[in-house]
Amino acid sequence: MNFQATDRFNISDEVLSQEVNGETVLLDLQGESYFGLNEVGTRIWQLLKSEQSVAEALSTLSDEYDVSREQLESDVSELLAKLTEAGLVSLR
Amino acid sequence: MSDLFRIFDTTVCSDFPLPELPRVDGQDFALTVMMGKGDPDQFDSQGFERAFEWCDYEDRVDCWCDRKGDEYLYVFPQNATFHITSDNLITCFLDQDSSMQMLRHLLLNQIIPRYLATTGRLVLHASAVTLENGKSVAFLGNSGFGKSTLVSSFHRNGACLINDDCILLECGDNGVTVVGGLVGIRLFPDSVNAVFTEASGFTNYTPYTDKQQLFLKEQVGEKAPEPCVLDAMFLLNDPKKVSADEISIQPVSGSEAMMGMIGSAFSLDPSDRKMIVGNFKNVGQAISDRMSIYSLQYPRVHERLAEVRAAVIKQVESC
Repeated sequence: MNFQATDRFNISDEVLSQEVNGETVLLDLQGESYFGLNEVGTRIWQLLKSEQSVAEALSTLSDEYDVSREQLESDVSELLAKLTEAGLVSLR
Repeated sequence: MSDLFRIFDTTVCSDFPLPELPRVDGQDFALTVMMGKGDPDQFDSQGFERAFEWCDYEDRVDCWCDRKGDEYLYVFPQNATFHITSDNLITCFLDQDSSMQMLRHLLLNQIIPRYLATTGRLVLHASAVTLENGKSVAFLGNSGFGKSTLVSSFHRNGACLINDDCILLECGDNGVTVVGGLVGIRLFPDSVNAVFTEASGFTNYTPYTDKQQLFLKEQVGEKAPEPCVLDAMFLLNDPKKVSADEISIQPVSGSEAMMGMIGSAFSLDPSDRKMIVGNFKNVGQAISDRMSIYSLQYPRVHERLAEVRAAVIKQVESC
């Protein structure tokens, strides 16, 4: 799944999140399932919650992590695809 | 004639004896337990709908929960039925082929822990001990993972047993505290023989399992259990999935710890959204509250238990 730089996402009302020791667990009440996010996934989730677009989120992550732009784009795209497929977020 | 008993942090008023629990004085209680009249089959279950079923390892349904609003009917076929109502009353019905010991076992180890979860408390399927160095530790894992054998081994070597199967956690100013329900141990005969070297008072409590139970009267006395700070929690590996040859203790990530604890949290109706959210928030708070959490892998060989104990004690000394 490809995303546009200007895409923004809505987080489902059916999702609860809990940060624990730098990571995040998402509870999907609709599907009664849990998702674990690692440290980078947690940061992406925070940026999605703060209504940043894909481009804004990538820019923030580039400033914070010493990782190549290609790697970040791949990580963000992969996570967004998983979250969208699971119904936890949706395109605005 | 009713008496008051203490289980976890809760005072129970029961109209039949609960010898596994310490008695307490006073007049206040939060939960009433009564024996119902007649056979479980005679209970009028009209209007109840199936909420959840539990299956055994051969996929046979061995327990189910029916629900009508805030009323729950827990059925353990051939053993007992429990009717739980929102006015904090549990009515127990004994099957004619079962025993009071089995009914009390189900009441104290299944029904009351699940009921407490509806009151906002976090109750986990876990065992716990206070070590000789004063640190308290819990071991989390499904049935068959070795929780009871491990804490029995600690108990026989100087630790104070908190509980072998079920613990209640509370978050407070001092971190996470733990309190057990009844102070007893249930083991299969091979573990009884390996851990307890002399005749030890273990008895069979149901014809449906070879497991035997022992109540530690000297520890129960007439004193209600006191909560103590929980310093560390160990997630036990599934011995059927991961066969460990060596002892290994590793810190686990926050999400791994949370998923493990959520999977072990008691709930009266596991499909109830309010209870799912309650356990999710309670577990999140407990993990954020200064408790160290590790994975513990070890060979399930009785001869290696001394090494496992030593590794756990060494680990918690740094907590």
